[in-house]
Amino acid sequence: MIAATVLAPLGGDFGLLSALELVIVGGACGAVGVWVLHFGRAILAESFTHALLPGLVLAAIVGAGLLLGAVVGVIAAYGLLLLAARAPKTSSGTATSVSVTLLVALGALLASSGNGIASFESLLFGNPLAASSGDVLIASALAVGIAVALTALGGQFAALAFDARSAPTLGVNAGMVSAAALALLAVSVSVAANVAGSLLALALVTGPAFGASAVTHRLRSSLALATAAGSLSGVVGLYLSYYADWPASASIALVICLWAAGAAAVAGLQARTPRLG
Amino acid sequence: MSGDTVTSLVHAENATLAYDSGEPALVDLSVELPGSELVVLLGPNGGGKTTFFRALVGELQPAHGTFELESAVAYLPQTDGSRIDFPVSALDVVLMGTLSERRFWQRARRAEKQRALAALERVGLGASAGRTYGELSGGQRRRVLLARTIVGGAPVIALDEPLAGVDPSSAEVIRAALVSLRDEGRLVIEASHDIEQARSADRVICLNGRVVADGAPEDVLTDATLRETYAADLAVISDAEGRPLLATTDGCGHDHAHDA
Repeated sequence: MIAATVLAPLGGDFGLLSALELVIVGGACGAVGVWVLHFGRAILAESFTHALLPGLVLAAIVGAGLLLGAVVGVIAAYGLLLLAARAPKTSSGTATSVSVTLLVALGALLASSGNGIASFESLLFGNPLAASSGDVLIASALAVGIAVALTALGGQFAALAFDARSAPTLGVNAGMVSAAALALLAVSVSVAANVAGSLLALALVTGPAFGASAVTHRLRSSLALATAAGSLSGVVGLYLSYYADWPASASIALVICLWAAGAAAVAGLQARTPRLG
Repeated sequence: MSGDTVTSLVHAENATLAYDSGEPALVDLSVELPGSELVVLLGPNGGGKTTFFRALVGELQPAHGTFELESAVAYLPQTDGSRIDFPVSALDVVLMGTLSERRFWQRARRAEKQRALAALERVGLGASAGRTYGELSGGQRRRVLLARTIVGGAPVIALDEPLAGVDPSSAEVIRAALVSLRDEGRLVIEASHDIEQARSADRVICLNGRVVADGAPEDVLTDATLRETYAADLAVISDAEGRPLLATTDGCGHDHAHDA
């Protein structure tokens, strides 16, 4: 009975490939998310996920891969954000909000004028059930790249995130390390958007990390837990979608948010509990 | 101060240190600083102490003259920029001080961990190596950052007001650590507003846009020199023997990130 419950969806609508892709993407984005939060870039991540919409739409129109479109969209968005921030008498927050709104509107306009888009909705909310073996391969390659980068740069990231002012005196090239962190953010946002769409991708990047950071006290455990939570949330979300007959991306985002809220509640309870001895 | 056989670790000659915009913060700076010395830089906010350190760590090049280093410098800034919500142990923080010794992708080896533990023990926190950094007291955190500064073994240790805002017990431990660093041959340069602290140094350099005085504490810490150093900001309290006891300036000992 239990085996049938577990196995039925894998052979049904979403299949093994979708589950595999979400395990890989969820884990990779979860780990990057820990650094996104520590570097204080959650808002930038949110801006990227929304602002890459024109890239997704253009990719859909010309028939290119959505992942490529997402990457191009993030790069273009970052360029526009930098440009807008240089406007006189403009705060970076104002520049970001105007730029993101502009790009989302541009994406909607492109979608309305493009004939090649089967479903604009899937660009906004993703379509994790459409994973192919090629998608899984690409996601695997990117996840390996992200894992290697995080392992190699972990010490530098920690020194910079812990004490940005002193990091250069410790031999950390702050500019290079910041650029690497930004590149990882761009890649993870693009990968997440390819699966969960422009509007729900942020959940994959920040949700698992938020929950993990709330209940752990060391970087290593935080990274491990965020990776596990990201991987598991995707699969649990798919099962929820299958049995509740809900949209897949929304179900995944819901599970991730429940994880984050639950972990924050546990952390709050732990903080309130007096320590004995 | 030194014979021909003593090698200077820091050599400045007629150096003018200035920021991109504005007047020079330090002019006509000429000092020779050998190892095995505990040097206190004394002066008001804006007197040039932090500028001196910025030149020391290579952030500022002299506009005129020379400012040369013969060895690596480890620097502890006055303003603590560390994040207490960051999930690392005291040992993890100290290990950050060894990052420059290995390729960026390499992890800390056992020998580096042992040195980090030794540095923590040196500041009296060997038993707290595994504690979360943010759970330590302010004074303990300052000691952890000092351990991070000294773990790399740099011959020159530069500390910008290491005792500012530190509790007395931590201050005592830090003072003892600085003396032991001096005793093992390192050059310890410390910025301070505290005349009592300066009195226990080997050498005191009074700065106020220039070198007002440079020498042994008993020669430099005179009422006249302090008045010249601190100018209008000076408040001198004499002790029972008539020695100047304390100089206070506006905002001394607190955050002055823009302090020249």
